[in-house]
Amino acid sequence: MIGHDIQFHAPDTLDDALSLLAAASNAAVIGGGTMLVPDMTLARVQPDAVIDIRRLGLSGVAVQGASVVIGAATSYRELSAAVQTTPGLALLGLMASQITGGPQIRNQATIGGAACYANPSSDGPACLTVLDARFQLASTSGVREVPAQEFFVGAFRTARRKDELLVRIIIPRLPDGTRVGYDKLKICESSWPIVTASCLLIPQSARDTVCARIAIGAASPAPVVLADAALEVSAVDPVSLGQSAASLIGEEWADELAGPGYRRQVAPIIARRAIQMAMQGAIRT
Amino acid sequence: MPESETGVLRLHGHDFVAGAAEYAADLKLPGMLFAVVVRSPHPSAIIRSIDLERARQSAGVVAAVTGLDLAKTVGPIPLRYAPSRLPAPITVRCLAVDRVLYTGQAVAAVVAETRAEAEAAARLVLIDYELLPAVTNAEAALADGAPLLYPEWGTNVMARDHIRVGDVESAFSEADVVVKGELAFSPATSAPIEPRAYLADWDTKRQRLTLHGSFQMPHPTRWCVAQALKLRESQVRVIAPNVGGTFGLKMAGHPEEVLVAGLSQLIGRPVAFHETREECFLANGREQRHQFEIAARVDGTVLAFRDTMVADVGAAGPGTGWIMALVTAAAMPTVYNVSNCEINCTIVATNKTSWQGIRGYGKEVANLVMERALDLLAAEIGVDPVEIRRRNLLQPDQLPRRLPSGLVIDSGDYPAALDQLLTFFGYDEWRARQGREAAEGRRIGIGLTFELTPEGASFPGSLPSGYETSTVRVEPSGEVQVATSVTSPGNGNETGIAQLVAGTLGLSPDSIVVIQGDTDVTPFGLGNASSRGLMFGGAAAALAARDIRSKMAQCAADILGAVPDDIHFETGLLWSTKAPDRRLTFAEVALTIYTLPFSTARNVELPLQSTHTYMPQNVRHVPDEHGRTTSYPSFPYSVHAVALEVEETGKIRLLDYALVHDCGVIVNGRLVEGQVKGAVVMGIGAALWEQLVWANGAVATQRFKNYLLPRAPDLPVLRIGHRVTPSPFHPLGMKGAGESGFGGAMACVTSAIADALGKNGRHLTHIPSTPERVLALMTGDAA
Repeated sequence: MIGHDIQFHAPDTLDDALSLLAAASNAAVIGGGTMLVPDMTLARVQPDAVIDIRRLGLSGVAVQGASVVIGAATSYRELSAAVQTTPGLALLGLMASQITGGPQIRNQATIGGAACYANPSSDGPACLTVLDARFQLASTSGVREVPAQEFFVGAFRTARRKDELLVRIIIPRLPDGTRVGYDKLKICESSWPIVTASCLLIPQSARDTVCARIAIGAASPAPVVLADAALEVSAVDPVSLGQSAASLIGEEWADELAGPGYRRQVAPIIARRAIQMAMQGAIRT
Repeated sequence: MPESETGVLRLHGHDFVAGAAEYAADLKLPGMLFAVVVRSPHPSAIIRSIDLERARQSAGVVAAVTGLDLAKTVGPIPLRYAPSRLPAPITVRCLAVDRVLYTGQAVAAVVAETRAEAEAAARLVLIDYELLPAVTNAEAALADGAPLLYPEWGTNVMARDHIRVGDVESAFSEADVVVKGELAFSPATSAPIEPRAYLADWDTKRQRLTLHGSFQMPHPTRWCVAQALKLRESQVRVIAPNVGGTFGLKMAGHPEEVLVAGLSQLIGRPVAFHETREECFLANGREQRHQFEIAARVDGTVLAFRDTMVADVGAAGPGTGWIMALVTAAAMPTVYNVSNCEINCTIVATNKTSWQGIRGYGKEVANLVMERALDLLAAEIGVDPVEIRRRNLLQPDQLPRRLPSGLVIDSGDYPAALDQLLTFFGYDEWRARQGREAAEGRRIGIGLTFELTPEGASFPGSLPSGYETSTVRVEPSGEVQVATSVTSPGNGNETGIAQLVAGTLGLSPDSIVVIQGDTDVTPFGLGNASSRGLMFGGAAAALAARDIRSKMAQCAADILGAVPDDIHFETGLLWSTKAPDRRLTFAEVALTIYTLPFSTARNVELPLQSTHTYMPQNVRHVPDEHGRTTSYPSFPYSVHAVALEVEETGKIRLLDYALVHDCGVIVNGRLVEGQVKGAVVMGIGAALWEQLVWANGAVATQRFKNYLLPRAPDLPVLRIGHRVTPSPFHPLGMKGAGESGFGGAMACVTSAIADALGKNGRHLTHIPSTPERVLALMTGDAA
């Protein structure tokens, strides 16, 4: 039960939403609410105002030129469904279909909400980082785009200012034939992610050459990414590549489910699995 | 002997799955208020002052009280165990006075028109504490100069037990091999779906209290509350509606039981308390350390076993949770023939929340320790772990058999159960597969363990001790009602009771009305604990039903001109063997007895009602020649096998699980299987994932995202085989089936992990085996 008074707004236009955000000193934006509502129930956050963005047309996926544009309020279910019809969504679709919590969570939770929440122990941030996503933030002062590596600042911290609303996530289209891999470690079914790894093997103009991008999530406050090593396909060694990616983990994330040292130790294994999955090439964007 | 049906569907099951069943938190009374408890954020402190002013001014607040306020009308909570068990008497109040002894202790209460208003006001209560040094683990509590929770004790040791049988020293010195081991258990909780909820309704005009709530033990709660409020017991009525699971957590002795009653009496309106999930996580148990040694001949025959255990039970409360540590010692050495045994048990109070009952009740730990000791021994001398068990099992003709603690195992066939399981599980095939997979770099582990589960706890000095009562009554319409002192935690035991009575009277179970959990209506008894539902309550009902049958047979004999022994009761009809075509309905016979007792039921003593109390045999409260008593009459057992994979991350994946279970005579196979599966799943959770994490005496894991319960995708299909070795001490041969499976699963999974890890498995010393701990073992970091 939410124990404090809140003003609830469901604005009809983006401008209305941005004005509300600008005026409020202590507002929260609600997408699916799968994190916000429990946090309010447990009094971990106590916003004065809650701004519901469901009427702003911010859900949906579309190709626009060289980008795939994802509305911030797009649910995991919508992402999974869009994989069939929209190129470039294979990794996000793979990730979305493995979100813990079943249809209830996947139907309700949004990719934009996950990004803004920036919970280290979650799937979204590292995937979006490996995809080189840009986050379109709007406010009464205008619109700006922030690349993923600048957007995810730390645990539960992003570059979003209090008065900004995440409107879209923009992902550069990957070449056809980009191979995708995703793996995550949980303690058991009900656990949150302990370590996640996303891998893209992006074909280059030179034959039999790929560029490998690997992002590791949940092992550190913000995702780490190994980028742009142009390799011959035959030279892709999942073990050493996984270790290289994991070596980028600086400050390690630790909690009640796994203490210091564990995530760092298993990250190379999870990264290796994601790379191996990509190498098998069953899933391509 | 009544006929039993194994396939009867749970009565009223539809209500539960359709959301029509009523639980304590569903109850609404006119004028109802909500109480919220303000809890200490410190593990040890003096309460300097409490300022309730702002809380009292808050919207909707009707009352706010401190411990001192309430102490004017509410006395201390009586202890549910003999106070002489403690080093010196203690006083426990529903709200702390002067001093707090654990984080989470109730310090003040706010009562408001709505729960939200009460919660908002509770946040406005200002309490000034003077922090004191706290002992938040057993080592600290036992150290010289440690701050004492109860200065009158002169120590933080709450209780001890020293069990000794045979000549342990000689056996150890003569042994070919001695293996040492240790095990540390993290604290855990039982996490029922329904947290506790109470609703107290003080009727000022009638001077009577009705206390509704999720009680396992309505009558003991009534006794406690009456004493605390200085009322006569007849002024208190306790009613338990449907309970949504408990596994020991809702045993009598929670401060809030008395608190809501006291508040309702003070205010003159009904007061409800609905525990939050975070508060439910304050209930904990099982934190302890064992250091054990096992001595054997070179062929694996065990000569002696010694265990030193230290249990950290938190602060002393009115409840009996801490007694689980004594039960651990009492259950050893479980199913094995060990004549020389010594168990040294130290129970330590610390500045943490009190132990609450948790399924297994200490027996699961005893089983795990024994099985671990045998595995270590097997590894040391190179004997197969199954063989070492076979070599040491008690044989059927050695039972009944006295355990070192004084408990007497009733009956069982452990070797036959072992053979049955080996085939059922496909043990040899799994070992072969383990070898093949090892060649491919996969670590498969196989565990096989026994579990002895003493049931029917009947402790001397506890109220009540070891009896349950049922009344069977036939109404003039022929309807049959059973009022019984046992309650249901949600396990469907009313269905089993209905079956026993229906079987005796030739009726269908769904025509029997079973009434439980109302102290104005049901006879005095304990309620729900230690698998007594059918074993005690059902037995009492069966005995009462036999009386009724006998009375009705006499009457039917009179009507039919036959002899009572010739009367059949079947499908709601009665008839004589001599004249089977003339059939009377059960209802006709009942009405005849009620209306024509002078002519057709001359020898039948009215009313058509019978009350029987079942007291188990095989319980002895007078000490034997070793000075020991026995409080457990019955000993179901099981043998378990699991195959699992240890992944390179330390994560465990379960591949296959099978067990053979013997709880004596089974009344309802579906209910028993449900209990066994649930117990096995809980044991798996306890072995792998479930641990409460404390930070400076406060629980850091208070939600299901960091206290991890098993979910369906985590589990393989559980394959259950049965045996029936009736109890020679029970009129129907039953042994009880509420806890069997927990200890076996916990032991089995642990055994399999150690098996998978080979030499590194030697160093498995902490339960649960989280991936972090397993990885450390794999990489040798735990050595």
